[in-house]
Amino acid sequence: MRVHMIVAALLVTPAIVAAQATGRAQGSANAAAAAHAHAAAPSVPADFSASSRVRLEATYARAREHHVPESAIQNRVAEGEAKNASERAVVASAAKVETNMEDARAAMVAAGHDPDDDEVQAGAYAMERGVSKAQIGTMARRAPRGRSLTVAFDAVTRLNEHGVGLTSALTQVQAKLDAHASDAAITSLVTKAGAGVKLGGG
Amino acid sequence: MNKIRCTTCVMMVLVATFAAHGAAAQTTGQLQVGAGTATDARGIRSNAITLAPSVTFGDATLASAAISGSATFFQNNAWALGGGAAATSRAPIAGGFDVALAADGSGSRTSYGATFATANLTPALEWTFRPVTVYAGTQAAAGYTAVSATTSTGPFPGASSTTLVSHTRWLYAPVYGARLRLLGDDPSVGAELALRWEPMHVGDTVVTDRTANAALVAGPITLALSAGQRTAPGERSTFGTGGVMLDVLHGVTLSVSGGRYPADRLTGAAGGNFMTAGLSLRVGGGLPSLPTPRGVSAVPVGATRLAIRAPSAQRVEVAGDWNDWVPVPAMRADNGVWYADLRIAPGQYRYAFRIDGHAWRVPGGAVAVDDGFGGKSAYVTVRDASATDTSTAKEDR
Repeated sequence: MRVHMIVAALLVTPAIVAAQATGRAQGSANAAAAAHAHAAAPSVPADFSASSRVRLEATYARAREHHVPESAIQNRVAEGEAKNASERAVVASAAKVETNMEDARAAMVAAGHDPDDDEVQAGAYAMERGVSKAQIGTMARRAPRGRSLTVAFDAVTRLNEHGVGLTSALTQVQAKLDAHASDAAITSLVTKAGAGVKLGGG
Repeated sequence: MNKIRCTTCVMMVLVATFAAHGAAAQTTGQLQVGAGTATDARGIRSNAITLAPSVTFGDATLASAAISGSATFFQNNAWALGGGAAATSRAPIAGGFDVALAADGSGSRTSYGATFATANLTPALEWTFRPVTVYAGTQAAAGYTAVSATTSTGPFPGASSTTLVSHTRWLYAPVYGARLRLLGDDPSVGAELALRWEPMHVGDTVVTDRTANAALVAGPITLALSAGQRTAPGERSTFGTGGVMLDVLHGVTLSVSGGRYPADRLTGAAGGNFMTAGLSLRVGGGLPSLPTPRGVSAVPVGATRLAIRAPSAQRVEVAGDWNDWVPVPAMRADNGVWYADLRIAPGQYRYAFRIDGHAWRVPGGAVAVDDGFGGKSAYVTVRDASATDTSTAKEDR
């Protein structure tokens, strides 16, 4: 009986040891992953209250979940901190930029365009400047396959700033996209609009 | 009366436009419609409606020109038509000194046979230190007035003759003054206080005006106040005006003003009291151009230059998405524009300048939005040099 127990113990021990080793390894891996995640994780200001930290971390988590760049949120937090904004304003602004990126990405994906991070961020910036999710989708749908929309989004909002109506601005930029015009040619729309303003012709 | 009343309205609009845009490099068309009443020092009361179109060209802080017209219709069916032109220029020298030149001329003709014309030239030297600007200059001006006078002639009723009575007056005045411009952390709030002293030599008479002006801009509301004292042989009088303007829509401003104005020593027009309300419609303008530093080297290959006009600043830094909003110092050019040449990877970024360590500002002419923190942020798109036909990474603003 004792022999059996010893044999059983000897037989089981490696498994236990192995299991423990595996557990340790798993724990180490988790720790390493956590450490990596912490190192790579966008910063959450240390002096923020617990509730603000939770909300900000949730915003980052949502960005990861929806495949939009966390760096844009990180930038917004850094901007708020540089400008001595309140915690509440920083958290709200971070959430807003995440939502805009989510919407911009969704619009582009729905239009059959797989955007990179720069396009998602440019789309979000365009939304901050008045372009709607539907208009982003329309531009993405009309853009030649493989063409980056970053400059196009910027051109639309800048034309609008020069007094060109948003619909007209979208039409002009889309016409350029349809014609497979270069980024420089799209940008020239804005240059011409600026000259028109200087001449008084709007 | 009418000329001074219109001038008050125009000045108020200029204050608001300047405050809103900082430096406006553009062409702006404007139509002002005003209705008001005035009672001059002789007790003559007049009610009138005025239409005043104008076009302004150029950069308000460096060189600008404006042409304007006015049509005034009085309650008694009389009318007056007028026009004018004005130009200003400013050339930075060094050490905060600028040479400024202002010139204007105007003329008007009435249905009752009166003609008024004035011309004015004022060169001045200005020195700016932080928010304070002091200046000294010389004003030279001329005024012409012609009035038809009808007199009875002979013994028969109805017989009369018309003669033209005209005067030309010259004015010379050293001009001294100071301005204090206060800007808060909130870009939509600002104030300016100004003092001016003009001992005018009109013929053999010295007429001294001391004037204090204050303007406060808070979002869409502008409040402008002016108070002055005139001393001359046998005359000691005070005058003052106040006005409120409200931007109700983009390019649409309502204004109400009133007060007491002094006699015009050039044209001989009497002083009096007035009250007016008006509507200003502004078109064009769009974005002013971005500030450009003068007298500095070209943008290094591969760099992006960001610049802001801040002539009274002592320290300017720029920060943005590309560097986690860590401010880096900008350099000052002779024309009061601060700039930084930065190595920024292609992409789109938000940025802003920090003035004197506390106030965040965006350059006039930059595409900007509310930053979500009570201020503004500008955007810059840095294009990939390899994606364009340019040889360097190019800032696309």
